[in-house]
Amino acid sequence: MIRKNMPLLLPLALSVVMIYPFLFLAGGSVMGALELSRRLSPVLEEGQGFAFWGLLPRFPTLRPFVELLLDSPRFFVMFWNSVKLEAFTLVGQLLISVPAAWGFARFRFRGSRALFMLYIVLMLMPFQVTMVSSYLVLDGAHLLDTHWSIILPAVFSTFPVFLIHRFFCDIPEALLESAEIDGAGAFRAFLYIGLPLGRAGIASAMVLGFLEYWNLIEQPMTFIKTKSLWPISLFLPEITSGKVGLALAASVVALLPALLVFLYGQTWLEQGIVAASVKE
Amino acid sequence: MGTKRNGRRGLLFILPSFIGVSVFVLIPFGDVVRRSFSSALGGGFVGLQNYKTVLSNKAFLLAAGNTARFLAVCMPLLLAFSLLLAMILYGAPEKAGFFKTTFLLPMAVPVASVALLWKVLFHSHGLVNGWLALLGIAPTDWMGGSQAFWVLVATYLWKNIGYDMVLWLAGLATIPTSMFEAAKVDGAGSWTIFWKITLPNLLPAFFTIAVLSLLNAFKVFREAYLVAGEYPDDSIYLLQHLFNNWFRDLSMDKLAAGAVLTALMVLIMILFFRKGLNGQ
Amino acid sequence: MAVLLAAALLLTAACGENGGTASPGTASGEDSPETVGMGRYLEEELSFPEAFGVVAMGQDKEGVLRVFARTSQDAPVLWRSVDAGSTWEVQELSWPEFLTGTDGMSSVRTASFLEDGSILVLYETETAEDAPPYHLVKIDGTGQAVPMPIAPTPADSGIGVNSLYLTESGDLLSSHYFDLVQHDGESGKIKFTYDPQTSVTEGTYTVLGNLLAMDAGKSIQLYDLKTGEQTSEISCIQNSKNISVAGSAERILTVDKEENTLYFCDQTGLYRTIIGGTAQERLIDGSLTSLGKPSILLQKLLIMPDRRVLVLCFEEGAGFYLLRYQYHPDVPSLPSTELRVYSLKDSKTMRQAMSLYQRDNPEIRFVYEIGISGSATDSDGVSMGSGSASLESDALRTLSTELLASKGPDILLLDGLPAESYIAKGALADLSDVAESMAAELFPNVAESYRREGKLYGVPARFTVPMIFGEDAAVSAADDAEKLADWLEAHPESMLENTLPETLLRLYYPVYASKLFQESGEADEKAVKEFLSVLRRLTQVPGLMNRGFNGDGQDVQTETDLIVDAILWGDGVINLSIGNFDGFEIMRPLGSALEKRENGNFRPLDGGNGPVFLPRTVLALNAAGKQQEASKEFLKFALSEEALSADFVEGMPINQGAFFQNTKNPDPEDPQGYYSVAGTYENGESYVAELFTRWPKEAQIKKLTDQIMSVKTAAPVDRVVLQIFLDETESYLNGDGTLEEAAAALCKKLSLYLGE
Repeated sequence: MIRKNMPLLLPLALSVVMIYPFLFLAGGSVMGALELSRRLSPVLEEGQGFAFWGLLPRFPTLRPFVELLLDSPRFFVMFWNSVKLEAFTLVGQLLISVPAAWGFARFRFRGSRALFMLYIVLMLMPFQVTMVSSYLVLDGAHLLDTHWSIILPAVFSTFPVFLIHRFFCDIPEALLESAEIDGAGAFRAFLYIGLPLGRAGIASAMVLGFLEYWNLIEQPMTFIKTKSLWPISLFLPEITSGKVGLALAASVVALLPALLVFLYGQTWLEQGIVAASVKE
Repeated sequence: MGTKRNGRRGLLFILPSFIGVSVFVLIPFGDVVRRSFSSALGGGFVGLQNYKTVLSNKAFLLAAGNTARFLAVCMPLLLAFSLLLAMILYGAPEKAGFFKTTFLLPMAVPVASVALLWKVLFHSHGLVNGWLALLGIAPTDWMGGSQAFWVLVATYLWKNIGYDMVLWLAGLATIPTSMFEAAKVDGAGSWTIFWKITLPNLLPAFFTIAVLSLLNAFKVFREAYLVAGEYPDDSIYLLQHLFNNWFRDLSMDKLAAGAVLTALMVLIMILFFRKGLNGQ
Repeated sequence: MAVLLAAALLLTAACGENGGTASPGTASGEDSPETVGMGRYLEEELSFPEAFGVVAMGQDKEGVLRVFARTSQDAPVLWRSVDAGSTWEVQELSWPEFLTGTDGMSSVRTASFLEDGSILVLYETETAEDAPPYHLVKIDGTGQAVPMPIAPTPADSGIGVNSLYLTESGDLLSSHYFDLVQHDGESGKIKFTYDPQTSVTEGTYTVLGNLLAMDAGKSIQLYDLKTGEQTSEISCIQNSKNISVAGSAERILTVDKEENTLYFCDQTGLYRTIIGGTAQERLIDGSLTSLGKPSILLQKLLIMPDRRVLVLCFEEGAGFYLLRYQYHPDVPSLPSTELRVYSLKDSKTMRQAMSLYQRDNPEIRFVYEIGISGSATDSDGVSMGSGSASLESDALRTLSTELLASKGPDILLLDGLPAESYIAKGALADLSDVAESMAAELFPNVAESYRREGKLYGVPARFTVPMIFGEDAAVSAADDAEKLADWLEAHPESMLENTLPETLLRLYYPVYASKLFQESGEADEKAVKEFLSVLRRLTQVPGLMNRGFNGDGQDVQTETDLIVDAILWGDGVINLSIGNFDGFEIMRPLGSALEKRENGNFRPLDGGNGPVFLPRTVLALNAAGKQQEASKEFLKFALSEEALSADFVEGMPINQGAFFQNTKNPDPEDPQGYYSVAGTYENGESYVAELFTRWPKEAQIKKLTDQIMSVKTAAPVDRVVLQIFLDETESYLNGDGTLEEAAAALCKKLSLYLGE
């Protein structure tokens, strides 16, 4: 038994490293301003000595959260903006990229591989590269300074196509053939075989998409001028050095939806993986 | 990979995506290519002048070298390490759920919070140096010297290892367990099974995971930028730093040429991954 | 702190918009609205017939205006206007002796008009020791004084009463700047005290029956005078978020009894809301009027029976005047020409120029975009720690996007922008013709700061000069930073005001910049080392401010305030100060300190290559702007004496007329001023410095202006280079790390930046 679990020591040790930052954020978010600044003054104010950190606050307080949730009306606006952006983006991605991934995975036509390669290269381009050109396109379409300037390019991101494609490729051809023998058309095969078996891929693309768009910084900053339209990702960077507690509280609140999506998406992922492995 | 049917029908699946991608990604990218042959403010055609300028630019050469070095170090590390973890967890499926969640957590932390955390940890008066001091080790300026490179590599691993691990696990799940059992019956050792069965069957997943790791390697710039600013230590001055700074100073000419060169390099890398696969 | 990434954009909203509740898909902004409604309030400025201090202003039911004022001889006078402020006549009254000041003991504190036209006057007597200091009388239409049974008292803190109001139920309200007190009308007992957490003056509260409405900064609070309880609140966040942090944030209130309506007015405009309702309607867009002018102080708001709006204003230099607004149904609600002005940081100078220009050119509308709003950073736009630097770079990248897409603003303030790069890329237009047409008025050397290869790409509206002042022996010895360090080390009992590395670097970098780089543009490592080691020595001399504020999250003060320093030196707390001379407001305390200390002196800082000036508020024109001619006309105005005469301590005006006007005493009476500064030394002991001030003597002003005008060399600061200096020398100047390491790292980074 012990021997069997030996290899698990490595992931166990690593989990500590993985979780530490969380505990840091959570602990710091309920710490009083005084305690925070005392602990971190060597870093924040060029004081002497080193910052120190016990994970548990000596005098826990919910003040930072009160300040954030009651005294920062902008936080709510930005939070809901993010939720809105996410909802439109993810639904759009589902509608657009899942079929495209299916098309790339299950059909071969002239230029399909080159096109897929192009998708990959486009996916890898840093945002700065096409920033000006995208701005011009969005301006031409009168989308600047609206949420659509974030949503539409995100809907047509090639990333989910690429990711889901992989999972569709793993579906054995035999399954589809048998479906077609049963008289199912290409579209029905996609709907009744592709979608259920590609669930893991779709779920992981959605989860990753959620995280990506929850953390969007450059795009909204460039394309949205009206501050009341900004997403939550731009709230955190705005907090200044005097407000570490607020920053930590905001981090925790911003992190929660991502965490929930994870925990929920996780089940999906698991199911999908299980489904794929028992498929034969 | 099953035999793909020849099908124009596939185009129907791809078309909506392709139209959107053309408008929001392809056209802007085409515009960047055009700008790489023009002067900075949308002016006249200058031929290859911008490419000449960029290729003789000290900062570009440094940034390109650093980026290549970073990719060469962190990608193999991540791929190997995450595979190792995936293998361990594959052997203990009942414990895998906990670790998957834990290892995926870092992805959910907002970028700005990561930056804040890193500042506290790696500042010259920060927590890490504090711990080292307790052990009697002299403090180092983590972000100020060549160690910054390794901090960045560690950040990348910390953030992405869970993600890659889950993808490997999904890949492993597609390998029929009967294959392992058959090999065991034939008396094959663990190593033999790994080399002869596991790895070859993971190759399709490898391509996807490698490309995604490459994508995420480009994203680590956000953290680098937030922690160390526009002019970080020489060792972590990446292409995006340069692109960002060029953009700030209105040097669209150089930026476009540099971007096209980068796209070419990315394409070559992807073709290389592909080749490696097909060569198999 | 590195979490600062976002850029902030401040857009002055268009008239008629009610805040920003937009959902996905609501397009706005970029394009000028296709359909422009008709109807706008237009502004007129009305001056009073004579310079005086307004004590109270009111109107009766017929709309007859009355102003109770004091003349420059301190005599009471009652003015009356039947045409809404266009003309005024004196209403002769036989004033009681204690109000005319002839008894030598009494002085008027404040007053308030009553419904029947009589005036409630609060005055104090100085000599009577045991008598209550305040007396309240009612002056009727003939000048007869009737003593009132009660009188308010100063606040416990000693702050005097600054306004009065008699309610319908007979209670008396009196304010003390920070609170408002309700006295029982008969017993004089304090019934309730209201604390809105902001300043209270005559205009900031208003009463309707038992309802008290008062400005509380982000909102207007409504109270029930019967119970003293707050009944509701009107949020003003939507408007106040557009108010620059730096600008005055007062809000003045009034009610219309017939309409049961509350009117309020601040920098962003005039609003109306039905009492008890929730909707707010904006009647006047502040950005289209003088209301947006940062130099203005709003005093009192009146709505005339014919719905004209009167705003009593006070402005340094101009004194009291009235702004009158009349609705014109046939004028388009929005001006046809839009000029977009961009600056990285809020500029009061620009706001002033836009406001003034807008009034005389109703067809022009300004959209003022600020790269970074808020006070996170100081005027140079850089600081130690890369956080705010990335904030600025993000703002600059947003600007780059617009410029590259030919969607950029018409007018740019080059302060903090990569000016040389913009020039090299051809982003800026030649302003030679603008400068030439103004040549007679401008300081030529300042105007020419941005001439490159024959073309003029920017004209600084203002400039600052790094200076040193204090003990003559030190000032005379301090030919450069090294000599200053020598002197201070030889006189360890002397104290330099600020020895923070960041402050020293900011001040001395521009002065030394030309020495630190070789002809090729590369940094000269040897010169850099010498420079840094001198700075390090200066950080070690005794200083009043050698560490940032600790503990309570306050920002480290990196910008020296010469006004404070002059007071500190005047009272002997410090011996020397260095800082940027950025406005003539400094002259009063500095002149008085020189007078008091006798052995004092001042001179521009010198790095061995002669003193320098720093261009500020550098006006530039986007070469791709679509309104070239209109922009140039505005730029000419922005450089004019009228636009630049107000002193915002943002630098001295390039316009000679405005410059010399600033050197004149704004108050010929020259009353004695008093300043005091309190603080704590490093060792925890506290100090208090006091200084009585008067306007300096001619000779001193002449010496100062001669010195300032003799500075011929411009030292434009490259934001990125300064930021690299700050980042890379931080440890060394703070005592960590060696000079060699710092200089090597600095030069490496500089060469990286310059190699881009």
